[in-house]
Amino acid sequence: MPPLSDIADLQASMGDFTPYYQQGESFSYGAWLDGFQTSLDVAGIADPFGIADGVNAVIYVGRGQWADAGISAMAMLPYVGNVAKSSRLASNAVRLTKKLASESQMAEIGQIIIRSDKLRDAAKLAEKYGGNATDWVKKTSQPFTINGVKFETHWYENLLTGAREEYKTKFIW
Amino acid sequence: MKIKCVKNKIDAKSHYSILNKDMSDYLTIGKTFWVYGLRFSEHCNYVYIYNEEHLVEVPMEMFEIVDSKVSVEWIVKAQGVQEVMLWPNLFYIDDFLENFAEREMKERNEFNKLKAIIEVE
Repeated sequence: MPPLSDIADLQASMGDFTPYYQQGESFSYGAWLDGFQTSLDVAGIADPFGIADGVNAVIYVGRGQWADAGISAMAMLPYVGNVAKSSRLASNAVRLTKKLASESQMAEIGQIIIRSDKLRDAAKLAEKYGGNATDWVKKTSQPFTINGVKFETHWYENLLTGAREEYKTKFIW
Repeated sequence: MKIKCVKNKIDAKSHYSILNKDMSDYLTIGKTFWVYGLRFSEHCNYVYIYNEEHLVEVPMEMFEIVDSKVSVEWIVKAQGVQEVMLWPNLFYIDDFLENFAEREMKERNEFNKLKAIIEVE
């Protein structure tokens, strides 16, 4: 079993990942913005005027991520801020890997692990997303391992329309 | 009963309700599996295999039988007029299959016991 700190890191990074769906924000936009801000972090290390870090701080404020905004503002000070920023870059690397893995899992065809007549929520799914209860199944991706933690993605899928709903990452112990 | 995978995909034009018709990312041709249950339905017949992660029902036509001995654990039940199952009693228990898919410890342990029995019959 992986150390608890690794699991906590992953769960923390999951916390940043899941809301893109829950809040209805475009996933590709959020992922793009994360990538852009990581680029600003890297650019800020070599930027003697602190412009990249300043821009990053403003974007973090706009996204309501106050702790990150503080790190970027502090990073405008030569040398001092780069220590805090290095730690964030490492954490971003884990989060990015997690996102890429999840995106890759969501692109899979998936294996059906529960057919409609054994699926507890089939009727609820039909009511919420349309179609017949008999067309909804539960699928899983292949498992994926990051930092020694194994996980897979589950989702519901309508066999007739191909609609996919309610992605969920499952940690495998 | 043991089977060997001979193909991992069936005709994409087959009935939409057929489950796991494209297993090309998940099944290796030539690999053998124990069978833990069978289901005969209107559009397709299925075998229940365990891929070390999940119990999945896969169209029977993707396999050839390498050991045809039927498990004594299997019980026949009909569901309506279009479906006949040959399952171990465990699979008929309400929510067993979904809890198993959700990796609930109780169901995983029960399946491991059943698996051990079936594999030495």
